[in-house]
Amino acid sequence: MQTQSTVDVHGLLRLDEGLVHSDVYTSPEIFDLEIRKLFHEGWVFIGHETEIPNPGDYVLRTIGKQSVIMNRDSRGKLHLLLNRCRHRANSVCQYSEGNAAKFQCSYHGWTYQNSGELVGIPYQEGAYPADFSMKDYPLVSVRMETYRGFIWGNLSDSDVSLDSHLGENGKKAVDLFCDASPEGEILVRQGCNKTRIYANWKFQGGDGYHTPFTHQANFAVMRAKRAGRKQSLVRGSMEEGWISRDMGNGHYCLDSRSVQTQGVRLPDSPWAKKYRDSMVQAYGPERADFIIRANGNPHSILMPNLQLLSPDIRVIKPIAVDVFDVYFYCAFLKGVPDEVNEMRLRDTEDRMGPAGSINPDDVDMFERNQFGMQQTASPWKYMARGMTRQTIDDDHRTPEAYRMGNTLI
Amino acid sequence: MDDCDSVDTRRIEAFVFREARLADENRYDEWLSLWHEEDAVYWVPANKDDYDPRRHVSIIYDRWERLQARVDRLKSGAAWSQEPQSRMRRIVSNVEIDEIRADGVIVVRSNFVLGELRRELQTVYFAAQEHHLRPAGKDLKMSLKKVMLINNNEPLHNLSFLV
Repeated sequence: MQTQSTVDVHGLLRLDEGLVHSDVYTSPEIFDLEIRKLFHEGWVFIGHETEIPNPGDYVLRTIGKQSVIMNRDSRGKLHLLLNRCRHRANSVCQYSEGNAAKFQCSYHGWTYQNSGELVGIPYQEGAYPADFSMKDYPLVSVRMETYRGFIWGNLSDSDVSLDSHLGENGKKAVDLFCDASPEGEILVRQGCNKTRIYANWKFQGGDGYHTPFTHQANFAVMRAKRAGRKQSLVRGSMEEGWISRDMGNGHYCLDSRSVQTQGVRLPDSPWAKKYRDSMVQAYGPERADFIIRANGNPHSILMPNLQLLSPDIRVIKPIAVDVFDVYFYCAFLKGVPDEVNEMRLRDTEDRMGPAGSINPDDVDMFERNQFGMQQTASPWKYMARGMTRQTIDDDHRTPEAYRMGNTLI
Repeated sequence: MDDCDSVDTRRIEAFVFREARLADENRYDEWLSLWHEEDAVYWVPANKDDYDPRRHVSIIYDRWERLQARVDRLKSGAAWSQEPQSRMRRIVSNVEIDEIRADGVIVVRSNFVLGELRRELQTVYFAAQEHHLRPAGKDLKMSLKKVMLINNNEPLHNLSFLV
C-alpha cells in the first residue's frame, strides 16, 4: 500500500553541514509517518518462543499501534493474532500473559479458538445473510518469522523477508547474544522491567561518547571503591575503542571488541569454571573467551524496536511523539550453572530498569533533550561528530567478524 | 512464636514512620543506618508481588554492598536523575504486626501513598510494604524492606529516589 507523505523529511536534514532539525523529534506528523513506515509496514520484534512454552500460552504485545496476541494453539503451533473481535473490534484478551484455549469477546460473546478460528456467535440463527460463514471471520492473523527463537511480525504484505531485514549483521548480533549459552539457547521467562520515558522514541543511546558524562556518578562510586582498595583510577574516556557502527537497514551497534580484553572477568569459583569449560567445549577456547569477555553482548540496536544489550532483550514501544516505553526482558542462558543466571538478574537490576544505576540517568538525558528539542527557536542541531573520521572498514580478520559496513564514529 | 499483642506497637510504628520520613527527605546516610548490614535486602518486586528473586527480575534487589553503592551514587552530585532531587511525602498507614518469628524478627505490614515531585511532574505511587525488624542494641533495625507497588507490572518512570 503506497501512502503519500505530506512531511518533507529531507527538508529536515542538512547532512552536508551535519545539521538535523528538531522537528524530527517533536513533530506528530513525523511520528505518525514512523509508526506507519517502520512499525506497520516492516518487521517488528514481538517476543521469544520460550515465553510461551506450553499449548495455550499467550503474551500480549504491540506492533506500532496494534495490540497483538502471541500465542500457541492447543496443538502447540505459534500464532500472532490481532487482539480484536471481528464484530465491533472489542479486545478479546485482557491480560499481559496467561493460558487460554479460547478467546471470547465479552461484549456479544463471539468466541475464537486459540488458533484464531471463529467457533461461536450467540443467537446466530437467521441473523445473518444466507452466505455468511464463520470461517470468513477468524481473528486476523499476522505474518510471522523467527530467527533462533526470536519472533518478528509484519502487518504488511511487502516481499521483504525477515532474513533480508536483519541482514548478516543483525543475525550475528542475535547469534552472539544466544551463544553466551553453551547450548546456544536462551530462556525468556524471568519477567521484565518496564520503563516510561517522556521523550521521543529515537533517543536510544548507542554512542560511547556520553558514558563518562551521563554516567559520571557510577565512575565516582567505582573510583571510591578502587581508592579504598588502593587500585588505579578508572581509565580515560570510555569512547576510546568504542565504535558506533552502521550495520545496514538502520541497525547499528556500539562495537567494543577492541576494549573487550578488559571486559567481564568471571569470578574464581567452581561454577564459573564449569561455565567456561562448557563454553570451551561448545565453541573452542578462542570464541568461548571472546563471548565471556563480551558478556555475550552485541550492544546492538535492531530497528525499529529491538535492542540486544546483555543480559537483556530490550523492546522499544513508541507511545506518542514525546513518550515511549522500554521493556527490559532479562534472558537466562540454557545449560549453565544457576549462579550464571542469577548474576544476570542482579546485573540488570543494578544497572537497568527504573531504579538501576545507569538507565535512570540516560532517561533524564533523553527527557532534557526533548525539553530542548520542543523549543522552536534555533531548531537546527549540530550532529556532525565523527563525520570527518568516518571509514568503511574491511573487518574480516577477527574471528568474530561482524562484517559491518560504515564506521560512524 | 510470640504473641503479636505483646509487642509495643507504637515503637514499631515509630520505626516505620521514621524510615519513611528519612526516605522522603533524601537523608541517605541516616536511612542507611537503619539497616542490619549482614542480611539487608531492599526488594521492590517487578510484575507481581512475590516470587523467587533468584528466578525472576526485580525493580530493586539490593543487598548491603549494593545499598551502599546506591547511596554513594545518590550523594555523588552526578546522579542526574536526582539532580534536582525529588521532593516526596508519603502517608504510611494500615500498620499491622503480622508475625513475630522464633528468631525475634518482627514482620510488619503497612500501606503507603507516596507523592513525588520532580521538576514539574508530580507522580503518585501506591504500595503495600513489609519490614522485617529486629533489635540492634537499644534500637530496632531492618533486615528487609519490600515494596509492592500496585503498578509494578506497568511502565514506570524513574524510581531513582528511595521508594
